[in-house]
Amino acid sequence: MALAPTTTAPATESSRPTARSRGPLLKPLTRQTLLYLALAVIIVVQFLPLIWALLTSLMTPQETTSIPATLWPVHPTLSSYIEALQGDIGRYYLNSIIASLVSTLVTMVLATLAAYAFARLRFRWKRLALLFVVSLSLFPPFSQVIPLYMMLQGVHLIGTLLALIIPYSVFGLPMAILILMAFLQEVPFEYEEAAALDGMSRLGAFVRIVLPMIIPGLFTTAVIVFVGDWNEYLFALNYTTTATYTLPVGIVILSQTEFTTNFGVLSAAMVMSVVPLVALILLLERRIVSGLTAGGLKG
Amino acid sequence: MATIGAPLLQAKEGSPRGPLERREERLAWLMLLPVILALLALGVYPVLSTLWFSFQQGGSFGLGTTSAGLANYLRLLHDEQFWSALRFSLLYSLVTVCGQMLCGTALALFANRRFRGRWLARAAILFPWAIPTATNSVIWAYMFNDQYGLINSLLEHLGLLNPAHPIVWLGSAQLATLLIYVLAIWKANSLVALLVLAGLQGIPEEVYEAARVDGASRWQLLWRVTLPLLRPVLLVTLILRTIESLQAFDLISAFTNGGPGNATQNLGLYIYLQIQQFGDFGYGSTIAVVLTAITLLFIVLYMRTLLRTGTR
Amino acid sequence: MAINEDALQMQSVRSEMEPAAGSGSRLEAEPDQVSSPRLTRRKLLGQGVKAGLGVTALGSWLAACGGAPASTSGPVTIQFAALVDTTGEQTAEIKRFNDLHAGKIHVDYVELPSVATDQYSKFVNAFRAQSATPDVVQIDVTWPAQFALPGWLAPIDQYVSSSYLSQFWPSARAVGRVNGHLYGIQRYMDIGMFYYRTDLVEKYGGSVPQTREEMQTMAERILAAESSQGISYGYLMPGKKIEAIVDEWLEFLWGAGGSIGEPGKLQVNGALQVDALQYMHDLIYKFRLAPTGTSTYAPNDILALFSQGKAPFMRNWVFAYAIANTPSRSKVAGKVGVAPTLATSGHSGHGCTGGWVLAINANSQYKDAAWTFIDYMLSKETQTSMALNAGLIPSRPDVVSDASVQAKVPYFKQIGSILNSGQNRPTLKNYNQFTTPLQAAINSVLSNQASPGEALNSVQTQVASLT
Repeated sequence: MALAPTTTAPATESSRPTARSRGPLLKPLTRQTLLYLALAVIIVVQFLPLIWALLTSLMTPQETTSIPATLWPVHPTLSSYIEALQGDIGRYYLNSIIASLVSTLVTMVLATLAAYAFARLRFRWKRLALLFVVSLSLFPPFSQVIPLYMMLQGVHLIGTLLALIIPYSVFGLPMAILILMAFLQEVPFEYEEAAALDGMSRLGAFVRIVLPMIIPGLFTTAVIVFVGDWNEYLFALNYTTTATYTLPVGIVILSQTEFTTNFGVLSAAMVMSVVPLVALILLLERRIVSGLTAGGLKG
Repeated sequence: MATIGAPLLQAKEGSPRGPLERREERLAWLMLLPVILALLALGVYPVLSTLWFSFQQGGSFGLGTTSAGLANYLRLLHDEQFWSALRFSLLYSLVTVCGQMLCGTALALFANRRFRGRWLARAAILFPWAIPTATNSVIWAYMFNDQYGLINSLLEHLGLLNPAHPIVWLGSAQLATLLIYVLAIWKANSLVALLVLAGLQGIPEEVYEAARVDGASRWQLLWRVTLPLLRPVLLVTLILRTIESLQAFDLISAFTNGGPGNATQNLGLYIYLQIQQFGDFGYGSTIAVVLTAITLLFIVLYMRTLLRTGTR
Repeated sequence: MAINEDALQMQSVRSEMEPAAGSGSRLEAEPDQVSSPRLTRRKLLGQGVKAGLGVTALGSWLAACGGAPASTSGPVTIQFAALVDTTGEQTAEIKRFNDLHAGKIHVDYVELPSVATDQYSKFVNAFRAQSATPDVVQIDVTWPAQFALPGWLAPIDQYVSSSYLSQFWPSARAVGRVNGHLYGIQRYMDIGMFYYRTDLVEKYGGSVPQTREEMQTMAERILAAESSQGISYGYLMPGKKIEAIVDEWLEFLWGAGGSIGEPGKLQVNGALQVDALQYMHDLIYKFRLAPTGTSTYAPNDILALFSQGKAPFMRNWVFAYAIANTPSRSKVAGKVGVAPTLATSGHSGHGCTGGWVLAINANSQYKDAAWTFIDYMLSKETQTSMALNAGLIPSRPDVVSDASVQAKVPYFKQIGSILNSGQNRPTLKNYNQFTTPLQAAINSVLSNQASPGEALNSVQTQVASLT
C-alpha cells in the first residue's frame, strides 16, 4: 500500500523534515497553515461517519434516536459494546479474518505469477488469455450467486468457510492481476537484462529482482484484495450459516431485528470492526513494507 | 511505457521460434496455469449459466424454464424500469468514477507530501473504504434521517435549519441521487488514492529534479511529469472503478433500496430483484448479460482513448 | 428493560404450570437460560460440514472452526432456521426442547439476519439446491404459497387433526393451506394496529377514533392545542419503500369496504384503491398531519417519534407496543393504547395480518422429528413463555385469553378482537412480484412524485394476472 513512505523519505517520523526546512520563513508558514487546514478538512470529511458511530456507540438506546439528534452522549455507556461482545462478534471477526486472509494469500500468489507472465513474458495467445481473465470479472456477481451455490452445494461446502474462501480467492484474481501488471510495468527491463547477464534464470530474476522492487505495489494490492473480501456481503450472506457468518452479515444480525435497528450496537460493531483493521494495516505498512522496500532497492 | 491495455489491443505478439523464446513461452503458461484453471473451475460455469438462462423463460428460480429465443432481449426494449435503471447506472458510473478519480488522486498527492501528522491523512484514506459497504450505508441513512439524524441536527445547531421543517434527504429523487453520488465517491476514493500513492512511489526523484532544473512550476510538474507517469496506474484504476460502479449493489440497496419510488434503482438492484426476489432467471440473466456488454464497451473505450493519447 | 421484568414474572407463571407440564426439574435452570441469549459454539453445527471437508487439510481445519461434524449415531440433529431474536427467548425455548428430548432429538438454531429479503434469498437457495437442511423453517406469512408450490415444503396434513388445528386462530391455520394441503402453522401473529395516546384521547373527546374523520378531527385539535407540549404531528405511518406501506394501503382500502380481489384477477387501480392511496398522500400534503419525511420512515422511525411524544396517533405493528410502554425507552410509557386500524364511516377497520409460520423442508430427512419440534413450539407452555418473554402474540387464543398472561400483558385483552377483524394479504405464488411494484408505486406517491391514479394504473398491468 502506498502508505509506505516515498523511497526518498526517511523512515522514521522524528527525522522527517517538514516543509519548513526549505524556502523563506513566512511563506512556508502560511503554506503550512493551508496544509493543515486541508488536513483538517480531509479528516473531518473522511472520518465523519466514524466519529458519529463512535459517539452513537456510547449513547443509550433512547439517545441514539432522540429528536433532534443529541450530538454528544449525555449518559455515556459501554452497554452497546458489551451487547456486541456478548453477541458473537468475536466469532464473526474470526471468520472474517480467516476467510479474508486465506483468500488474499491464495489470490496474491496466483495473481502475482500470472501478472508477471502477462506483463513481462512473450507468448502466443496472450491477448486471448488476458481477455479471458478480464471478461470473467465483468459479469456482475449477483447474477452468479445461485449458480455458485449449486456448485458449492455439490461438493458439500455450503455453510463452511471454504464456501467463501474459494470464490473470494478466484473472483479476486482478475482485479489483482490488472493492478499488479500496472506495478510490474513500472520496473525497468534493464534490471532483468542485467540479471540475465549474471546468469540468473527468468524465474530467479522475477523472485529476487522484480518482486522486491514492487513490494509497495504488492502490499497495496493485497490490502485492496483483503478489504474487498472483508466487506463482501452477498456471498457471505448466502453461503454461510450461524457458525460461519462473517462481520458484514454478523453486524446485521447483531443490530437489527425484524422491525428495529439498534444504532448503538450497529455503531459499536462498526467501530470494533474497522479501527483494528486500519491500525493493523498502518502498522504493517510501517514495519514491514518500508523495511523490505528499502532493503530491496539497495540489494 | 507499456500499459496494461497494450496486450489486449495490440495483436502483434509475434510467434516465438527459438529455444529461448520457447522456454519463455513455457514459463509463461506455467505461471498462468493456476489462474486459468481456477477461473475455468469456478468462473466459467456461472457465466455460461447466465448466458444460457438469458435465452430461457418461464419457470421459477430457473427450474422448468423453456427456450425463449430472443424474447428476453426484446422484452428489454419495452421495459421502462430497465431503461430508467440503465440511465441511473450510466450516470452513476460516470459521475462517481470521475469524482473518485479526482478526489482520490488529490488525496494521494496530498498524503504523499512530507509533513508531521501525515499518518492521519493516510488513515483518513483507509477508513471509508475499510467499513463494510452495507453497514456503512445503514450508518449514512441514519445520519441523513430527517428526524433523528446527525446532519439535520448539525444544521439546526448552526442555525441553518428550522426544526419544524427538517430536510427530508432521502425523500426526493434529486437529493437521494445526489447523496448516493456523494456516498459512492466518499466510499471509494480511498481505492483510487491507495493505487495512486503506490504509483507515486514508483516515480524516481531524479525525474523531478531534472524537471525542476528546467524551471518547471509545481503545476507543470504535476501535469507534465507526475500524471503522465501515473498513466498505467490511473488506467487500471479507472477500469476497476468502472467495473465496480456498474455492478454497484450493496451501497444503494442498504441506503435507499432504489427509492423514492424507483428513482435510484440501478441495474444491479434490478437484476437482483428479478433473480433473487422474483425468481425470473431468464430476464434477470438477460439484464446481467447486457450490463456485462456495457461494461466491456466502457473498458474498450477507455483503453482506446488513453492509449491513443499516451504512447511511448 | 421490561423483558427482564417479564422474565422474573415468568417464573411465577411457570411454577403455576409446572404440575401440569410435569417437568419441574427441567424448568429449574431457566433463569440462567433466559439471561444467556445465545447458544454456545459447541452447539452450533454448521450445515454441510458433515461431508466433503476432507478435501484438503485446510478444509478440516476450517471445519473445526465451523463446528464439529455431526455424528451419524446418537440423537437426530435437526436445523431450525429463523430470524434472529435478541430477547434470548428463542434460544431458551430450543434449550428446553433439547433437554426434554436429550438423546433423541437435538435442534440446532440457525440464526438468520432479520432483513426479510436476505432470509428469502437464503431459503430459496437452500430449497433450490434440494438441501436437506434446514429441516424446520420459520417463514413469513406471505411465503408458504411461494415455497409450497414448487414443492419445497412438506405437507403436514398427516400430523394434524382438525381438533388440533382448532386450537389456533383461524388465520394462523389458514395461512399455510395451499391447494388443499397444509404446509405450516403460524407460530406468532402480527397485525397492523392503531396506536393512540390514552391521555390525549381522554382530554380531547374521550372516545378512541375509529374512522378517518374522527382521527383527523381529534388530531387537528390536539395538534393545535398541544404543539407547545411537543406534539408536532397528528398521525404517523410507515412510508418507506418496504412491505409495510402495502399493508398500510390495504388497511385503508379494507377500512373503506374495498378489496383487491382474488388471485388471477387482482385489481389495484379501482376507485377505492386510488382513494385509499390519495388519503395517505393527503395525510402528508393536504391535512399536514403526517410528517413530510413519511416516505422515508420504517416502523421503527415512526415509533421513535411516537415514543418521544411527537404525535397522538400512529399505525404500527405489534412490536411497537412493548417499546412504547417501556419507561427507559419511551416518554409516553403507560399512556399508549391500541385499537383496530381506521375505517371510513359505515365500515370497520381491518388490520393487515403478519407474523411467522413454521414449516418443514420437503427434503428434510427427519420430518417426524421436525414435527415434534414444531408441535413443541406451538404448545401452550412454549407460547406462553414466548408471549411473556419476547412480547410476541401467540397463535393460540387460549394463551392470549389466559388471565395470568393478560395480567402481565394488558393489551392482550383487546388483541383478540383486533386479530379477529384482521385480514390476510393475498396468497400468491408470486407475492414478491405483487408487492415490489406496489411498494415502489405507493412510495413514489408518498414522496410526491406521482399521482395515486397514475401510480396504481402502472402497477395494474404488472399484477393483474398474478396467481
